[in-house]
Amino acid sequence: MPVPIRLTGVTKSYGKARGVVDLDLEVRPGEVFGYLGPNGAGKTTTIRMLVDLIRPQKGTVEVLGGSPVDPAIRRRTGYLPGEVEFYERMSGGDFLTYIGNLRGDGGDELAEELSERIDLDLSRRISDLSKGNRQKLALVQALMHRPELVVLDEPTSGLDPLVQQEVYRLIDEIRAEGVTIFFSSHVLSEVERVADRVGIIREGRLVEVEELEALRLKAVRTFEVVFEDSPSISEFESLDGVRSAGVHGNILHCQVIGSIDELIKVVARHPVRNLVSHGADLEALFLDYYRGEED
Amino acid sequence: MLNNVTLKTLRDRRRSLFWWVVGTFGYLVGIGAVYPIVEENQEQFEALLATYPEGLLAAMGVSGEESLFDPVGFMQAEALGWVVPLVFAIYGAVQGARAVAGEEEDGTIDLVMATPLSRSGLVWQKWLALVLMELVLGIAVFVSIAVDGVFFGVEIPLGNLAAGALMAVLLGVFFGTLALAVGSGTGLRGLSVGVVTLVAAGSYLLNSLGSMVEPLEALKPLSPFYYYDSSNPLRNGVDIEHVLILGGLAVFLLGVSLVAVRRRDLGVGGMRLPIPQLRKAGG
Repeated sequence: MPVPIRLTGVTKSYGKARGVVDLDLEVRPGEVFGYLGPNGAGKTTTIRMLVDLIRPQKGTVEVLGGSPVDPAIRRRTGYLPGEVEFYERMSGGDFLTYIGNLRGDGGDELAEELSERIDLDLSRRISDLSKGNRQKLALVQALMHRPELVVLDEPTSGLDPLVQQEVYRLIDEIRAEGVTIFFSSHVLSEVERVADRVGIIREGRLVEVEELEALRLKAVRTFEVVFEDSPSISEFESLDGVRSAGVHGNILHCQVIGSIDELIKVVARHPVRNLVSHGADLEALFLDYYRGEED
Repeated sequence: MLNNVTLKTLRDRRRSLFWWVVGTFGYLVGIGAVYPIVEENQEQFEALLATYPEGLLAAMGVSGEESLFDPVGFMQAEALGWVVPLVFAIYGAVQGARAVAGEEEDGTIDLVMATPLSRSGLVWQKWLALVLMELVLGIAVFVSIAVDGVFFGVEIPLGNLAAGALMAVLLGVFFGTLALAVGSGTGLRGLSVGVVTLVAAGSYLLNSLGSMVEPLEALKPLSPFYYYDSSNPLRNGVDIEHVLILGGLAVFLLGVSLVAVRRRDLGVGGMRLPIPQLRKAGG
């Protein structure tokens, strides 16, 4: 199976602070890759290069082992734009027929099946569809030809929670079929919910690519330990990964990044009445990435 | 009607094209209905025309030697000299500008171009739709004036009438392809219409002034309007050379469109950039 997406030294800029710089990125077959970053970080720029709407100034964009300039590659790719625009006066069904004909493979059957399942009325004019239904139509369009790679630009942005859940369910389903999914988001919880691996982009540069699990390890966890005795703060504050430790009487509050091994071993020297750990706070980690390391 | 870009475009434009046809038919039949009156009162009209400056007449597409009062001269002066080419050029500009730049500005090009459709495929299929739509307008001209012949005595040999309509179609296709080329190269609909307006107005003026102003005479062949009717197709039939030149120019512009659209970024952003830069430079 070819590498679904491989970007090598890709630079694309237009205007001030828009675009991407010297981007290297590889997406593995069958994974769900979350492309996370604040608005304006270069997510849409990257995605539009994957379907040859725009082209890099430097570097190479490889999709499914070929170039997205090649129509045969685009036939195997599904794409959901960040801001979807339709022919407003067509019906949803006519639109899907048109797109299917341009692809040369119809895909009508799957389109109907998908639409039925997500409760989308294809007979209505697109101009009469709600934001949620428009997004559903765009999703059906992106999936109806059974692509090997699906590229989704902020697929749930602006949708109500019910439709969001449906989008997640669809993503889960096509993931189960082995389809590679590349999706962008600026919402962490969504990436946590859906992605296997995460790339974080900030100001056009990829600052981190990590398994979600590994990322959790890097995130800040909060501990509250209640001792039988009253340990000294100095025991904890110099430990690796521990920050903002504080002891009030017999209670220790601290935050840990990375391994908790050292902390646990020191805690164990004392009689412990209770220990509470709060889950990895990825939010705080992402905010750090967003702000940049210099902050 | 959704099998390809050409059919889809025709489907989208069918209503507006219908009204363009109705308008063309209405104007040409209305003008034809006036002909019997003009013919009857030829002497008064001739006296009136004698008071018009020659430049004004030339600008209206009436040249000195032509009679205004036989069917050919009348139709040339009242319709094919200026209204018809204007209609065909405007229609071409609007359709040519919408073809690629319009889809870009509307944002619909994203989903279309993410399919295996090639960029050149999009352009030539849009162009084909443009040609077919202009052809429909051309048939409307032909039929309307033929109707005038039957009912109002505006009798023009059908072959010559077809030649006149063909030249209008070619002129419309030329300006439409010019708009298509600008739109394919920039993605800007307004600019495409603007360029066509400028070129059409300028070249029309050049062609009509060239008939009166000696130094401009030699420049007339630079104007598409020169090929459109300097051979007087209504009277003399088709001038193959002019057909080939006007058609060849349109095909050349199609080639420019095909190359231009392959070389750039599509959709929002890319080509809008120069405008803020200009603003910045200006202010």
